Amino acid sequence: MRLRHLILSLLLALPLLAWAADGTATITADAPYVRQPPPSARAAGAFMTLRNTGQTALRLVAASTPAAGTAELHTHHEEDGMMKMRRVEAIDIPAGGEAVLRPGGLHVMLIDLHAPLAEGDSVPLTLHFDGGASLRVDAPVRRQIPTADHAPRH
Amino acid sequence: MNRREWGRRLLGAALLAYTALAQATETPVWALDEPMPLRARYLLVGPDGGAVSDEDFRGRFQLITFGYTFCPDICPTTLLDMAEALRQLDGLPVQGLFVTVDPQRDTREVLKTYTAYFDPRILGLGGSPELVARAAANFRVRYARVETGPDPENYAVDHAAGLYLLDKDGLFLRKFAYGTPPAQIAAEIRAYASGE
Ligand SMILES: [Cu+2]
Repeated sequence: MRLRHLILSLLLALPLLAWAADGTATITADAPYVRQPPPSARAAGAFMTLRNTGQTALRLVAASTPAAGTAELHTHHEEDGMMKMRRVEAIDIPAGGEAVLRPGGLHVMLIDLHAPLAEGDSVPLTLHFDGGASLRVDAPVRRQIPTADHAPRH
Repeated sequence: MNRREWGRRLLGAALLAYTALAQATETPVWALDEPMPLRARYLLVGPDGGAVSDEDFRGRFQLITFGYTFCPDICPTTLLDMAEALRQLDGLPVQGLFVTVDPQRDTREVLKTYTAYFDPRILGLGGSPELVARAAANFRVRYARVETGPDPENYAVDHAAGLYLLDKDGLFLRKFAYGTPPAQIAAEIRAYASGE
Protein backbone atom coordinates (compact mmCIF):
# COMPACT_ATOMS: atom_id res chain seq x y z
CA MET A 1 0.00 0.00 0.00
CA ARG A 2 2.77 2.45 0.98
CA LEU A 3 4.86 1.47 -2.04
CA ARG A 4 1.92 1.82 -4.41
CA HIS A 5 1.26 5.23 -2.93
CA LEU A 6 4.87 6.25 -3.41
CA ILE A 7 4.95 5.09 -7.03
CA LEU A 8 1.69 6.87 -7.71
CA SER A 9 2.98 10.13 -6.24
CA LEU A 10 6.16 9.86 -8.25
CA LEU A 11 4.24 9.26 -11.45
CA LEU A 12 2.00 12.19 -10.70
CA ALA A 13 4.73 14.51 -9.46
CA LEU A 14 6.97 14.27 -12.50
CA PRO A 15 4.66 15.58 -15.17
CA LEU A 16 2.95 18.01 -12.80
CA LEU A 17 6.17 19.78 -12.19
CA ALA A 18 6.47 21.33 -15.59
CA TRP A 19 3.27 20.53 -17.37
CA ALA A 20 -0.27 21.53 -16.56
CA ALA A 21 -3.03 18.90 -16.58
CA ASP A 22 -4.11 19.87 -20.09
CA GLY A 23 -0.64 19.13 -21.41
CA THR A 24 0.53 22.70 -21.91
CA ALA A 25 3.90 23.62 -20.53
CA THR A 26 3.90 25.70 -17.37
CA ILE A 27 7.43 26.90 -17.93
CA THR A 28 8.57 28.90 -20.93
CA ALA A 29 11.86 30.47 -21.92
CA ASP A 30 11.16 33.82 -23.54
CA ALA A 31 13.58 35.65 -25.83
CA PRO A 32 16.48 33.27 -25.33
CA TYR A 33 19.82 34.20 -26.87
CA VAL A 34 23.49 33.53 -26.59
CA ARG A 35 25.68 36.57 -26.57
CA GLN A 36 28.17 36.12 -29.37
CA PRO A 37 31.61 35.71 -27.83
CA PRO A 38 34.73 37.04 -29.57
CA PRO A 39 36.37 34.26 -31.61
CA SER A 40 39.08 33.48 -29.04
CA ALA A 41 36.76 33.43 -26.02
CA ARG A 42 36.31 30.06 -24.34
CA ALA A 43 32.98 30.93 -22.82
CA ALA A 44 29.67 32.55 -23.67
CA GLY A 45 26.61 33.59 -21.72
CA ALA A 46 23.05 32.52 -22.51
CA PHE A 47 20.19 34.73 -21.40
CA MET A 48 16.38 34.47 -21.32
CA THR A 49 13.32 35.05 -19.19
CA LEU A 50 11.94 31.93 -17.56
CA ARG A 51 8.22 32.20 -16.90
CA ASN A 52 6.37 29.84 -14.64
CA THR A 53 2.65 29.92 -15.32
CA GLY A 54 1.98 26.96 -13.06
CA GLN A 55 0.99 26.84 -9.44
CA THR A 56 4.15 25.13 -8.26
CA ALA A 57 7.49 26.82 -7.79
CA LEU A 58 10.20 25.51 -10.12
CA ARG A 59 13.94 25.30 -9.71
CA LEU A 60 16.33 25.29 -12.61
CA VAL A 61 19.16 23.09 -11.40
CA ALA A 62 21.28 22.43 -14.48
CA ALA A 63 21.69 23.10 -18.17
CA SER A 64 23.35 21.17 -20.95
CA THR A 65 24.27 21.80 -24.56
CA PRO A 66 26.04 19.94 -27.32
CA ALA A 67 27.76 23.22 -28.28
CA ALA A 68 30.07 23.35 -25.26
CA GLY A 69 31.95 21.10 -22.90
CA THR A 70 30.12 22.38 -19.84
CA ALA A 71 27.14 24.53 -19.02
CA GLU A 72 26.88 26.06 -15.57
CA LEU A 73 24.35 28.32 -13.87
CA HIS A 74 26.04 31.57 -12.92
CA THR A 75 25.33 34.97 -11.52
CA HIS A 76 27.20 38.26 -11.33
CA HIS A 77 27.19 40.72 -8.50
CA GLU A 78 29.17 43.78 -7.50
CA GLU A 79 30.92 43.64 -4.15
CA ASP A 80 33.94 45.43 -2.64
CA GLY A 81 34.24 47.44 -5.86
CA MET A 82 34.67 44.26 -7.88
CA MET A 83 32.50 42.41 -10.36
CA LYS A 84 32.15 38.86 -9.16
CA MET A 85 30.93 35.90 -11.16
CA ARG A 86 29.77 32.91 -9.17
CA ARG A 87 28.18 29.55 -9.83
CA VAL A 88 24.73 29.11 -8.34
CA GLU A 89 23.21 25.79 -7.32
CA ALA A 90 19.78 26.64 -8.70
CA ILE A 91 17.64 29.41 -10.14
CA ASP A 92 14.20 29.63 -8.54
CA ILE A 93 11.15 30.48 -10.60
CA PRO A 94 8.21 31.12 -8.24
CA ALA A 95 4.71 29.91 -9.11
CA GLY A 96 3.19 32.49 -11.43
CA GLY A 97 6.51 34.33 -11.51
CA GLU A 98 9.66 34.61 -13.55
CA ALA A 99 13.41 34.54 -13.38
CA VAL A 100 15.29 36.91 -15.63
CA LEU A 101 18.66 35.85 -16.95
CA ARG A 102 20.31 38.98 -18.32
CA PRO A 103 23.75 40.54 -18.80
CA GLY A 104 25.28 41.61 -15.52
CA GLY A 105 23.28 39.01 -13.60
CA LEU A 106 22.07 35.44 -13.92
CA HIS A 107 23.20 33.50 -16.98
CA VAL A 108 23.81 30.04 -18.30
CA MET A 109 27.57 29.96 -18.77
CA LEU A 110 28.68 27.87 -21.73
CA ILE A 111 32.28 26.82 -21.14
CA ASP A 112 34.72 25.32 -23.64
CA LEU A 113 32.78 26.07 -26.78
CA HIS A 114 33.35 23.39 -29.40
CA ALA A 115 33.33 25.93 -32.25
CA PRO A 116 33.18 29.69 -32.62
CA LEU A 117 29.60 30.94 -32.62
CA ALA A 118 28.48 32.97 -35.61
CA GLU A 119 25.65 35.44 -35.59
CA GLY A 120 22.50 33.59 -36.64
CA ASP A 121 23.67 30.24 -35.28
CA SER A 122 21.27 28.52 -32.97
CA VAL A 123 22.51 26.93 -29.76
CA PRO A 124 20.36 24.08 -28.46
CA LEU A 125 20.06 24.20 -24.69
CA THR A 126 18.35 21.76 -22.38
CA LEU A 127 17.24 23.20 -19.08
CA HIS A 128 16.88 20.68 -16.27
CA PHE A 129 14.48 21.37 -13.44
CA ASP A 130 14.38 19.96 -9.95
CA GLY A 131 12.25 16.83 -10.06
CA GLY A 132 13.44 15.71 -13.47
CA ALA A 133 11.45 17.86 -15.88
CA SER A 134 13.36 19.50 -18.68
CA LEU A 135 12.84 22.13 -21.32
CA ARG A 136 14.48 22.32 -24.72
CA VAL A 137 15.39 25.83 -25.87
CA ASP A 138 16.98 27.03 -29.10
CA ALA A 139 18.95 30.16 -28.36
CA PRO A 140 20.00 32.23 -31.37
CA VAL A 141 23.46 33.79 -31.29
CA ARG A 142 23.23 37.56 -31.14
CA ARG A 143 25.85 40.22 -31.45
CA GLN A 144 25.46 42.62 -28.56
CA ILE A 145 24.95 46.34 -29.13
CA PRO A 146 26.74 49.06 -27.11
CA THR A 147 25.16 50.50 -23.97
CA ALA A 148 22.43 52.93 -24.96
CA ASP A 149 22.19 56.48 -23.66
CA HIS A 150 20.37 56.74 -20.33
CA ALA A 151 20.90 53.04 -19.75
CA PRO A 152 20.41 52.05 -16.16
CA ARG A 153 23.73 51.68 -14.39
CA HIS A 154 24.58 48.48 -12.64
CA MET B 1 76.63 86.14 19.37
CA ASN B 2 74.39 88.39 21.41
CA ARG B 3 71.04 87.59 22.97
CA ARG B 4 69.19 89.18 20.08
CA GLU B 5 70.97 86.94 17.59
CA TRP B 6 70.10 83.91 19.74
CA GLY B 7 66.51 84.97 19.84
CA ARG B 8 66.38 85.26 16.06
CA ARG B 9 67.90 81.82 15.66
CA LEU B 10 65.45 80.31 18.11
CA LEU B 11 62.57 81.91 16.32
CA GLY B 12 63.93 80.61 13.02
CA ALA B 13 64.20 77.09 14.40
CA ALA B 14 60.71 77.31 15.82
CA LEU B 15 59.37 78.48 12.45
CA LEU B 16 61.15 75.65 10.68
CA ALA B 17 59.74 73.14 13.13
CA TYR B 18 56.30 74.63 12.74
CA THR B 19 56.50 74.47 8.93
CA ALA B 20 57.68 70.87 9.10
CA LEU B 21 54.81 70.04 11.42
CA ALA B 22 52.30 71.77 9.14
CA GLN B 23 53.66 69.86 6.17
CA ALA B 24 53.44 66.64 8.10
CA THR B 25 49.81 67.19 8.96
CA GLU B 26 49.09 68.13 5.34
CA THR B 27 50.52 64.87 4.07
CA PRO B 28 47.43 62.80 3.26
CA VAL B 29 46.92 59.86 5.53
CA TRP B 30 44.91 57.20 3.78
CA ALA B 31 42.43 55.30 5.83
CA LEU B 32 42.22 51.63 4.95
CA ASP B 33 38.83 51.91 3.33
CA GLU B 34 39.75 55.06 1.40
CA PRO B 35 40.95 54.71 -2.16
CA MET B 36 44.70 55.21 -2.53
CA PRO B 37 45.81 57.88 -4.99
CA LEU B 38 46.02 56.54 -8.50
CA ARG B 39 49.33 56.36 -10.31
CA ALA B 40 48.60 55.81 -13.98
CA ARG B 41 51.80 53.95 -14.82
CA TYR B 42 52.18 50.54 -16.41
CA LEU B 43 54.81 48.45 -18.10
CA LEU B 44 53.25 45.49 -19.88
CA VAL B 45 53.69 43.26 -22.91
CA GLY B 46 51.91 44.24 -26.12
CA PRO B 47 50.47 42.17 -28.95
CA ASP B 48 53.85 41.84 -30.70
CA GLY B 49 55.69 40.68 -27.62
CA GLY B 50 57.41 44.00 -27.02
CA ALA B 51 57.18 46.14 -23.91
CA VAL B 52 54.38 48.70 -23.85
CA SER B 53 54.21 51.44 -21.25
CA ASP B 54 52.05 54.47 -20.54
CA GLU B 55 54.84 56.60 -22.02
CA ASP B 56 54.33 55.07 -25.45
CA PHE B 57 51.10 57.00 -25.92
CA ARG B 58 52.15 60.58 -25.17
CA GLY B 59 50.12 62.94 -27.32
CA ARG B 60 47.13 60.60 -27.17
CA PHE B 61 44.36 60.16 -24.68
CA GLN B 62 44.33 56.67 -23.21
CA LEU B 63 41.14 54.81 -22.41
CA ILE B 64 42.05 51.79 -20.32
CA THR B 65 40.09 48.90 -18.88
CA PHE B 66 41.09 45.82 -16.92
CA GLY B 67 39.39 42.47 -17.49
CA TYR B 68 39.72 38.92 -18.80
CA THR B 69 38.50 37.08 -21.86
CA PHE B 70 36.73 34.29 -19.95
CA CYS B 71 34.28 36.93 -18.68
CA PRO B 72 30.97 36.37 -20.52
CA ASP B 73 29.40 39.83 -20.36
CA ILE B 74 30.98 42.50 -18.14
CA CYS B 75 34.23 42.72 -20.11
CA PRO B 76 32.64 42.32 -23.57
CA THR B 77 30.17 45.10 -22.69
CA THR B 78 32.99 47.37 -21.52
CA LEU B 79 34.99 46.74 -24.70
CA LEU B 80 31.94 47.16 -26.90
CA ASP B 81 31.32 50.53 -25.23
CA MET B 82 34.99 51.47 -25.56
CA ALA B 83 34.88 50.60 -29.27
CA GLU B 84 31.72 52.65 -29.73
CA ALA B 85 33.28 55.65 -27.93
CA LEU B 86 36.36 55.36 -30.17
CA ARG B 87 34.11 55.24 -33.21
CA GLN B 88 32.31 58.39 -32.10
CA LEU B 89 35.68 60.08 -31.43
CA ASP B 90 37.06 59.21 -34.84
CA GLY B 91 39.74 61.76 -35.68
CA LEU B 92 40.73 62.46 -32.07
CA PRO B 93 43.92 60.79 -30.83
CA VAL B 94 42.58 58.23 -28.36
CA GLN B 95 44.24 54.88 -27.62
CA GLY B 96 42.00 52.09 -26.34
CA LEU B 97 43.71 49.52 -24.09
CA PHE B 98 42.54 46.27 -22.55
CA VAL B 99 44.74 45.00 -19.72
CA THR B 100 44.18 41.38 -18.78
CA VAL B 101 43.96 40.44 -15.12
CA ASP B 102 44.26 36.80 -16.20
CA PRO B 103 47.68 36.62 -17.89
CA GLN B 104 47.87 32.83 -17.47
CA ARG B 105 44.94 32.15 -19.81
CA ASP B 106 45.02 35.39 -21.81
CA THR B 107 48.04 34.85 -23.99
CA ARG B 108 49.06 37.38 -26.61
CA GLU B 109 47.26 35.44 -29.35
CA VAL B 110 44.06 35.19 -27.30
CA LEU B 111 44.18 38.91 -26.50
CA LYS B 112 44.86 39.88 -30.10
CA THR B 113 41.86 38.01 -31.48
CA TYR B 114 39.72 39.19 -28.60
CA THR B 115 40.40 42.92 -28.91
CA ALA B 116 40.26 42.83 -32.73
CA TYR B 117 36.68 41.56 -32.51
CA PHE B 118 35.65 44.85 -30.88
CA ASP B 119 37.97 47.25 -32.69
CA PRO B 120 41.35 46.56 -34.29
CA ARG B 121 42.62 49.82 -32.77
CA ILE B 122 42.23 48.48 -29.22
CA LEU B 123 45.45 46.93 -27.92
CA GLY B 124 45.42 43.99 -25.54
CA LEU B 125 48.16 44.15 -22.91
CA GLY B 126 49.39 41.38 -20.66
CA GLY B 127 52.68 39.95 -19.49
CA SER B 128 53.93 38.19 -16.42
CA PRO B 129 51.61 37.98 -13.41
CA GLU B 130 54.01 40.35 -11.60
CA LEU B 131 53.84 43.03 -14.31
CA VAL B 132 50.06 42.80 -14.41
CA ALA B 133 49.86 42.97 -10.62
CA ARG B 134 52.01 46.09 -10.57
CA ALA B 135 49.96 47.85 -13.26
CA ALA B 136 46.71 46.97 -11.49
CA ALA B 137 48.08 48.16 -8.15
CA ASN B 138 49.07 51.49 -9.71
CA PHE B 139 45.52 51.95 -10.98
CA ARG B 140 44.09 50.74 -7.66
CA VAL B 141 42.38 47.95 -9.56
CA ARG B 142 41.69 44.96 -7.34
CA TYR B 143 41.33 41.49 -8.75
CA ALA B 144 41.27 37.98 -7.40
CA ARG B 145 41.16 34.53 -8.94
CA VAL B 146 38.21 32.46 -7.74
CA GLU B 147 37.30 28.88 -8.55
CA THR B 148 33.60 28.66 -9.34
CA GLY B 149 33.06 25.12 -10.55
CA PRO B 150 34.47 21.62 -10.38
CA ASP B 151 37.10 22.28 -13.06
CA PRO B 152 39.93 24.40 -11.61
CA GLU B 153 40.81 25.58 -15.13
CA ASN B 154 37.44 27.32 -15.41
CA TYR B 155 38.13 29.86 -12.71
CA ALA B 156 36.67 33.35 -12.64
CA VAL B 157 38.60 36.52 -11.86
CA ASP B 158 36.85 39.07 -9.67
CA HIS B 159 37.90 42.48 -10.86
CA ALA B 160 37.08 46.17 -10.74
CA ALA B 161 35.15 47.22 -13.84
CA GLY B 162 35.04 50.58 -15.59
CA LEU B 163 37.24 52.70 -17.83
CA TYR B 164 40.20 54.90 -16.91
CA LEU B 165 40.93 58.02 -18.93
CA LEU B 166 44.44 59.44 -19.14
CA ASP B 167 45.31 62.73 -20.81
CA LYS B 168 47.90 63.27 -23.54
CA ASP B 169 50.65 63.50 -20.92
CA GLY B 170 49.63 60.20 -19.39
CA LEU B 171 48.04 61.80 -16.35
CA PHE B 172 44.88 60.31 -14.91
CA LEU B 173 41.80 62.39 -15.70
CA ARG B 174 38.87 60.34 -14.49
CA LYS B 175 37.22 56.97 -14.22
CA PHE B 176 33.99 56.05 -16.01
CA ALA B 177 31.83 53.61 -14.08
CA TYR B 178 30.78 50.36 -15.72
CA GLY B 179 27.65 51.00 -17.80
CA THR B 180 28.46 54.62 -18.69
CA PRO B 181 26.97 55.14 -22.17
CA PRO B 182 29.68 55.52 -24.84
CA ALA B 183 28.09 58.77 -26.05
CA GLN B 184 28.76 60.26 -22.63
CA ILE B 185 32.34 58.98 -22.57
CA ALA B 186 32.93 60.42 -26.06
CA ALA B 187 31.40 63.77 -25.10
CA GLU B 188 33.64 64.08 -22.04
CA ILE B 189 36.81 63.19 -23.95
CA ARG B 190 35.83 65.72 -26.61
CA ALA B 191 35.38 68.34 -23.90
CA TYR B 192 38.81 67.58 -22.43
CA ALA B 193 40.33 67.75 -25.92
CA SER B 194 38.82 71.15 -26.70
CA GLY B 195 39.67 72.55 -23.27
CA GLU B 196 43.37 71.81 -23.32
CU1 LIG C 1 29.55 33.06 -15.94
